[in-house]
Amino acid sequence: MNRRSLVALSIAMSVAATACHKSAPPATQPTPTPAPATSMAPPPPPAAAPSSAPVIRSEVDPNAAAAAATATMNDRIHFDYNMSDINSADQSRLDLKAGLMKQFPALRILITGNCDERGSDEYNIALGMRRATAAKDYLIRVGIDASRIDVSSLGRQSPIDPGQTDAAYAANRRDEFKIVAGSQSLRGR
Amino acid sequence: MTSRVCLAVICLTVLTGRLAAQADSNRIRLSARGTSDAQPGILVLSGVGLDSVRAIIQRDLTYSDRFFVPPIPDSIATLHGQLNPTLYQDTGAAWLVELEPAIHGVDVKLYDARTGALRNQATVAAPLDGIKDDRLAIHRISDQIVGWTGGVGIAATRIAFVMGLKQVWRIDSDGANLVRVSPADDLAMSPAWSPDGSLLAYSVYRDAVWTLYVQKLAGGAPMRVPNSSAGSDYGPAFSPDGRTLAFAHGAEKGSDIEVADLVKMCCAHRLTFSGALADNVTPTYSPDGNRIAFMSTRSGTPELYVMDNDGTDTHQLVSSAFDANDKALPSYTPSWSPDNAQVVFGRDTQAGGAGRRLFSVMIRSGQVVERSNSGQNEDPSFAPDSRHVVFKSRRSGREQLWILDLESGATRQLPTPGVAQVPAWSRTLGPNP
Repeated sequence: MNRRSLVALSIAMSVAATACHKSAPPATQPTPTPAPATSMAPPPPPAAAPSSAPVIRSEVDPNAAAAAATATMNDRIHFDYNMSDINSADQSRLDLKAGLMKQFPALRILITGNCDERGSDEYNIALGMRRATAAKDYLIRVGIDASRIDVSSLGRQSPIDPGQTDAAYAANRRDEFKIVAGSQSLRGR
Repeated sequence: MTSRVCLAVICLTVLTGRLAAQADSNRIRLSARGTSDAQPGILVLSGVGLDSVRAIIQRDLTYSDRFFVPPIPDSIATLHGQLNPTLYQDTGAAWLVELEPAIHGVDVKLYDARTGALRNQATVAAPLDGIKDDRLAIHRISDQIVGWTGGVGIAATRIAFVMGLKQVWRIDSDGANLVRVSPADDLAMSPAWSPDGSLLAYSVYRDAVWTLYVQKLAGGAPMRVPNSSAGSDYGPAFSPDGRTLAFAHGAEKGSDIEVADLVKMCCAHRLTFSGALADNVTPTYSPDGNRIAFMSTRSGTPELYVMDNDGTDTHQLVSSAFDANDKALPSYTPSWSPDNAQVVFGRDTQAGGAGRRLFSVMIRSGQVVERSNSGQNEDPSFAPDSRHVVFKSRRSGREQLWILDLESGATRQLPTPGVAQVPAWSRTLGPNP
């Protein structure tokens, strides 16, 4: 692993420590900050400048760094009811993903849109696709090649929270991100 | 006194007076109190060994919402010898059904209870145990009886739906015989019946794509439905002749209505072209197959539209609705009645997805009529009689299937062990569905 990669992983770790959601496996979360249950999550802090993150090879566990980067890539974004607009906080989350995708060209991802249970169940598949595509379009706009991003929709068929509260609805209106290729490169291999 | 109370009195009177009355061959006098003011009473009597058949038919006739079926003790309803219809002339019932065992079936007779005259009779092939798929044969007896009285029966039908947000299941119209249809390991959505009931179309989520299949219910591997390009396909509807499948084709830039030729399994093409700006989903055919109603967000709000089956002559089917603050109220999930009288759909009555009720738009007048007034209701699907719809509602606390009689307003639950959604009601099923 070269120094550039280590720096990037360090950034990913520091970002994940403050911005990761409950989508990340608990064992890999640097801090157990619970996810906000609404789409109005506070924006994550800006990524640290590379120069402010000195990294010594011996201090970085490649597995932990890869896990942190994976958590950043997996971090969900959320939507308002019946909308597919990406809010500013989630734009920051997408910027972090874009940074990693630029850093690791082998990364390919699948974005899956999800909805709350309101609205017709079949329309929710269309709406979920629109949400996934909104994230893909943003990543393309910030320089990621479209061929590296697949989109899908589960409609309201895969809720995080089966409840009928506003908080449950907000948690379910989301894009899920999954690395489908290139995850080994995060470990420097 | 209502006819229901009257007939209940009749039953008690029969119970106490039957033997003596029959012994001296006098007509049974059963506190006749006039005819029904709402639903005609119907008495179902059967020979020995047909108790379970009689019970299924009594329930079917109740669920038809066309009759009052008084609860009759087995001791009264079981015939020991030939029925003398004249004994029931004064019961207040309008109809009398006699069931007798026949070779490989049941002899069914329908009498006018007031005159004792035989109105119709038939021998219907049916097993007498009434288990699993054999129940359909008994349901067909019920539908025969309803047909003799001038109606369309809905007993020999099934409802397909998604249970537990996972697989497609089917259940008989009376709530019996729950069977999984789609593969156990995949998510599946949006079932639709072919007009003859032999096929079920549904969408399977595999490799991050919703793919439409048509499955023969008699067996065999599901057949993949072609589409025009890569993407997800869901929300299918068979044309009334069974030759075409309309469905939503969703890709990155939105969803359009497509059709595919099911005979040649080819030639999928789009009927709508607004997907880049809007989503178009949930097609439903008019009974003549010439028109397709569907939901579109082309106005910015989910609204119902109708077009010719070639995608031309599109216009809004139902006028837009707004709340007191002028916020648009979305409409969803149209289902076209088999008699072409109306399209039933779900519409929010409050902004933010709340207060979803069922409404009808009457085809001839364009009038919009509210059909339900409690719970979150959506996804209506018409029964063959054009007066019953099955729909999803949360009125019991969780998403379950309910059946509404549009004429009487009567509702009943179709209980399922898991949460239920996207129900589809079959047409009347023949002997080999």
